[in-house]
Amino acid sequence: MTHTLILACGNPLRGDDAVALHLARLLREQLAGPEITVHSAQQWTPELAEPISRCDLAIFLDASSRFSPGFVHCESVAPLVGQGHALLTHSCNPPLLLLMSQQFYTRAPQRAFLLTIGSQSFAFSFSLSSPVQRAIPQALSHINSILSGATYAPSVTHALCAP
Amino acid sequence: MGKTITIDPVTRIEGHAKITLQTDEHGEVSNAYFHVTQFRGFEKFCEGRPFYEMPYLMERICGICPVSHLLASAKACDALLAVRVPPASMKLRRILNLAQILQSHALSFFYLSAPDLLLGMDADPKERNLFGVMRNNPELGRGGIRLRQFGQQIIETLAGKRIHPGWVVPGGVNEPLTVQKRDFLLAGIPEAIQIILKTLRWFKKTMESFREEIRTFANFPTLFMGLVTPDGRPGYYDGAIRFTDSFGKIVADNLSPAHYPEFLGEAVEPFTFTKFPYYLPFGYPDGIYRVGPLARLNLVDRCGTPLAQQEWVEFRALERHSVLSSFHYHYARLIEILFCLEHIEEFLNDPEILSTHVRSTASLNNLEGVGAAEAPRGTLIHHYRVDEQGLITWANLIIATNHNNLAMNRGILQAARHFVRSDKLTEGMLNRVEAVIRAFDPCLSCSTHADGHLPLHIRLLAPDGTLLDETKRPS
Repeated sequence: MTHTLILACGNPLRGDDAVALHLARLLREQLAGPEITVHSAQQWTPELAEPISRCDLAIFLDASSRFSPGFVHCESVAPLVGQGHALLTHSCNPPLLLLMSQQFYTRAPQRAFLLTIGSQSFAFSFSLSSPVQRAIPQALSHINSILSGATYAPSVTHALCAP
Repeated sequence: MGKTITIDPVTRIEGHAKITLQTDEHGEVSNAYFHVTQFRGFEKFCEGRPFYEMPYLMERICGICPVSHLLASAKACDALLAVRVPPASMKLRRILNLAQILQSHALSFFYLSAPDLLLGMDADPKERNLFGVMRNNPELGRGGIRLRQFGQQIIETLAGKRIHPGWVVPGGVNEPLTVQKRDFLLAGIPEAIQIILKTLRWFKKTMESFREEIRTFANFPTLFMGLVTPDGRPGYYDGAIRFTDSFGKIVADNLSPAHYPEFLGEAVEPFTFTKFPYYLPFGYPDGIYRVGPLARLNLVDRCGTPLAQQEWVEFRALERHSVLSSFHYHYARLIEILFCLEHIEEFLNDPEILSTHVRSTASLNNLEGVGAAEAPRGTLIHHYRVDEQGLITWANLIIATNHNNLAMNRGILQAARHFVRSDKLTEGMLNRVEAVIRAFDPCLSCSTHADGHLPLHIRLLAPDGTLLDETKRPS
């Protein structure tokens, strides 16, 4: 049985920064089952390397300021290349977590993706901006595609939602 | 002969520190300063807020020890309400505090200090990180990650989330513990105890390689301060304050944390934003004292749980009186992890822990309240005053790291005098000075830990103030 780990990162007090947490909540309702674990956190920390090493598919979800609001971007991610990394104890990014999974637990998931949604505002707020809210169905459908076997080349942007 | 150096805080960078060393005409270090250049201002901007918001505002001070602030703040609010917290809730809060200490100590020891301890102070800096630990002793590294993970799991299981949880409220906690959650937590204890026992065995052998560091890392007489229970055990969640001296003699005992202004003074120095608390009867700076794991194990009459008690006896046998070297903060931290695990297990096995009566309610009954608890780094005190509407009019926080400020400054001077003998800084010297600070595990202005590498700026000055050498380590 393929085990999937979905890791959402965001701050619930910072407007669009919480979009991944919203996605995680919807995914928990939609994807109940022992083969899928949905994890939400304010930041990704080194302790996640261990559960990541036990999964076959990892999907990282985050907000992004790199893309225009509502733009859904997905790329496959691989373990960070190289050695001698100054380990951040407060937060890690997906390639570093995959490297830690591989080096610390001798196993990394066969497939890993980072899905980000371009965000409009990270100001103090409990709500998402309109373009980001509108992007949620497309993001969910994209995640479902990954779950059903879709693959992506590294660092390729997939515009699924017009800003 | 020395020259005063003015440091402007350029930005509010979390965990930012700077060290200045001053040399005399013989090129030997004559003075050392540990500067914390950030400013948080929590005591000011909480003014005007309702007191019941304080636990959740104040825990935002820190991402590593939010639970400590949450508890100290909730206890100060309990005092404002003059409420009696239900017994089950007291125990649940205690478990939360112990879990906080467990996860924070695991971070400090395994992530931040183990690279030095395993690979050596002179190892290639590129290798001195958790990856280096994993390459050289994967069992040690994986064990550390598991311990931190377990501490965080306990916090998340009880309080909803790992960082900045709610759950603790003035008067108790807002949800009882279920049987399922209790059993889940209990199931993790045996593995965690095995990890820490193995780590203790490894550390005790490793200590032999660090005799010089043990001798010179803030190894001097000071007082020690901490909370102690009425039967002489460490009082992590509550207790009375005790001071002992370097001979292990009790200097003051049964002091109420609520009366801290009667025995703690707070000095300020122009070179740092952190305060310098001192034992008031001895004056400043003679009233220097240390808090945290080393102090707690020096203060108590016994440890109180079976395995930790054995380790504590062995620890205290290191020296005839109090254990003075701050290098042994590491050792004390490991023993405290063991104590936390055993104590959590005791509380979880207590049938009362499942009681559904977990919160008492009351209106505002006092206009002033003090809350204190042992945070991972030492005694944490929150002190609030409110108006009759319950709005905060004044707040004072004494953060655990600040208690150690005098000792940290004196400690880097001791280490620098020993290891710096020329006008040229070496990586090994830099790392040893850094490691003195790291042994205390400071949470700078309690905003954050530094990353694996403490972002340091070390300046070596000649007697006339000329800059001889400078090394910067970015965050």
